[in-house]
Formats: sequence, C-alpha cells, structure tokens
Amino acid sequence: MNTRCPESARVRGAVLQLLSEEISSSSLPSLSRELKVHLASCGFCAAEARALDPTLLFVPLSASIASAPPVEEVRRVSNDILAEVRRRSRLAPPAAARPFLSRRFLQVAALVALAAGLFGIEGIRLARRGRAVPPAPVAAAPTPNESPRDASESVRPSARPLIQDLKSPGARVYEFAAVSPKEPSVVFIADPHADL
Amino acid sequence: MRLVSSSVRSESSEAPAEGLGGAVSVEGSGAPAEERALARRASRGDTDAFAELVARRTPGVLSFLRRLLGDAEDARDVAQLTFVRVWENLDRYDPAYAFSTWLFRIAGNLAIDALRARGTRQRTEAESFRLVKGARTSAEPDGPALLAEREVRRVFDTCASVLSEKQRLVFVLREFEDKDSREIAQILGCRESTVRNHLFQARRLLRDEIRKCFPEFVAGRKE
Repeated sequence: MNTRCPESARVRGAVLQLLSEEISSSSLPSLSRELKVHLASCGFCAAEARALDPTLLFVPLSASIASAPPVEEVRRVSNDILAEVRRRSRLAPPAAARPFLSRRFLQVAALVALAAGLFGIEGIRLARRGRAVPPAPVAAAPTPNESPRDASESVRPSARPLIQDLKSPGARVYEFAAVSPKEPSVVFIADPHADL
Repeated sequence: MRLVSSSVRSESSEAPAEGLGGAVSVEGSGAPAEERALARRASRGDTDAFAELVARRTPGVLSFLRRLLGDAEDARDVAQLTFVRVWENLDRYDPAYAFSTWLFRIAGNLAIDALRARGTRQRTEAESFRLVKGARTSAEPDGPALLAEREVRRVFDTCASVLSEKQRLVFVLREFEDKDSREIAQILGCRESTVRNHLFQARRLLRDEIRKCFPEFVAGRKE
C-alpha cells in the first residue's frame, strides 16, 4: 500500500527533534508547514510520525492543509452577521460613533447635574432663610389705641416670636403665634418698669 | 528543507501567513494595517467597512471555531455572536494589537463559554464509547495510512474531551492555526509561560488518549 519514502529519515529526525525541543526549549516548537504538507500526502511518513508522536495524527486539521469551509456556508453566516449588525445599528450606532453620548461623557454630565442640583437646592434654602429672619427690631409698633392683642394679630402670619417696642421705655411684647387659628396665642410682655 | 519551526523564531502576529496554497488561514487574508483602518472606519458607524472585515475574517473564524467546538452548528452561532460583539465593542479595540488577535480573543472567550455551557466533557465522553468501537471495527490492522480530514476531526473531538477548555484552545491555536506563543498569550490574556504549560499538558494528555482509544492509528510500522 505505502512504499518507503525517500524523505522518511529526515521526517523521523524532525519529529525526534520536535519531541526533544518540546521538553527543553522555551519556545513552542512545531513542525514546519512544509513537513505538515508532506505528512498529509505521504502515508508512509505519516504512519511513522504518528508512531513517534500520536498528536501528529491531527496534522490534516492544520489551517494550512485543511479544506476551507464551504463558500455557501461562509456566505450565509456573513449575511446573518451583517443583517444582525445593520438591525442593531439602526437601533443604536456603535459607541465610537456617538462621541457626545459616550459612557464617560454621560458619567461626567450626571455628576455635574447632581452637583448643580444640590447647590441650587441649598441656595434656595439659604435665600428663604435670609428673607424669613426679620431685622430686629421690627418697625411694627402699635398705635396708642391698639392693644397688645391687636398688635399681635397684625403680625400673626409669622411663626416666629415677634418683638415689638412699646411706649414704655424698655418694655417689649413677645408673641408666640399659634399653629392654627383655633389655638390661643401666647403673648409675653416684658417691661422692667411695670408695677405689679 | 527546515522541518521543525519554533514559534519564537519564525512567526509574528504581524506577519501574514506564507505559502498557503489556497487553504484558509486566519492570518492569511489581508494586512493588519488595512484591517486596523477598516476597524477605525467601522467604529464610526461605517457598515461597509465592517462588512469588509466580516468578508475577510469569517472563513478563518468559522474554521477555527469548527475545530475548537467540534460542531458546525455551534461554530456558526458563536461566529455570528463574535462579530456582533466586535461591532458593539469597536471603540474598545486597541490598534496596538492586530485586529485578528482581538477578534480571536473574543471568539476564543465565547467558544470557552459555549464549551462550558454545554458540558462538553460529559457529552463527548459518552460519544467516545461509540466512536472508539466504530473506529476499531472499521480500521485496518495497522491503521489507515492517510486519514480523511473528517475522520481525524472526529478523533480529535473525542480525544480533546480530556482537555480543559484553555488547553484545548491553546492546542488549536498553536497546532491548527499556527499562532505563535506571543499572540496566543495576547489572545488568552496570560503569560507566554502559561501558554507553553497549557500546550505541553495538552500534548501529553492527547498522546495518552490516542494511544488508549485509537491504538490502531499509532501502531509502529513493521520494516
């Protein structure tokens, strides 16, 4: 069936060299493409090589020797790939095609928006607080006919204690405004000259 | 003629394959610089550039996955998924590496996921019993001199069931795809010493498995 090949001695030497280099070499020894082609076509040498190194049985699977996949199969797979990619690219182009919507850009934009939101809220809160604190004393002194009660009603909307000057020097009225209209207001008058 | 080549001496991931004689090779179709340019255009949404990359690389990726997975249908599915992943992640491609290296890294990782998902080892072990019996009854007394590619593929799929996913990937990349240790390390994301160790172990395990399951193929010739 297989006549002796004139290359058999060299093939044998090459396989033995391969086996010794596999243990000693720091590289990845492999048979040359030329030898693989020879082994794929010479039954005598292929059998000898397999006897020395059984993994040479797989030489016919080497990309340099093995048959290419059928053209029809390649075409079908390629078409499937491109159809899928075109479908996806209609929904969303590849990331590099969207420089302003890159992941890094979105991260930075989210941080900036968060920071701006926090500063904005805090700023509004500070502004409201500044408006709510009246300058003391408030120029809301009652007329002589007004009772302290009337004076307190004119400033009821505020929830903070009100400080009012009276005619008596040093006298002051503090009102703790009620939470609801049904609750009585508490008024505190402080006058160092009052005669109790 | 030089009969043994060392991956360190003879190959580079940048060097196109030489003398392929019409056979398909993953490195054999196009210069890396051209593919980098195509990848750059594709990353800007140019589907024509991407179609060119697909046309160049689909045959090689299909062959590689077919050998790695041992199943044509799985190979087609993983190939399709590979290119979709490539399209979705083109902005992450580092042009410092050959496009094919990046492509094979994605394909290899997806293939490993597929191998793990289907529990290849258990299934192929079950199949190997039938294959071994079939091979023994059909084989000639001292083994066939020249095995058909299909038969060799079946033997490999059976024997490779003893390998880990990474050992199998390294063996296929080195022995079938003719990749050098540097590029395999880049594809796997590991050191070259790890690649050498995987390959050494893979060869040892495969030798044992072939001798055990297919002794008729490795019988010594009577002079």
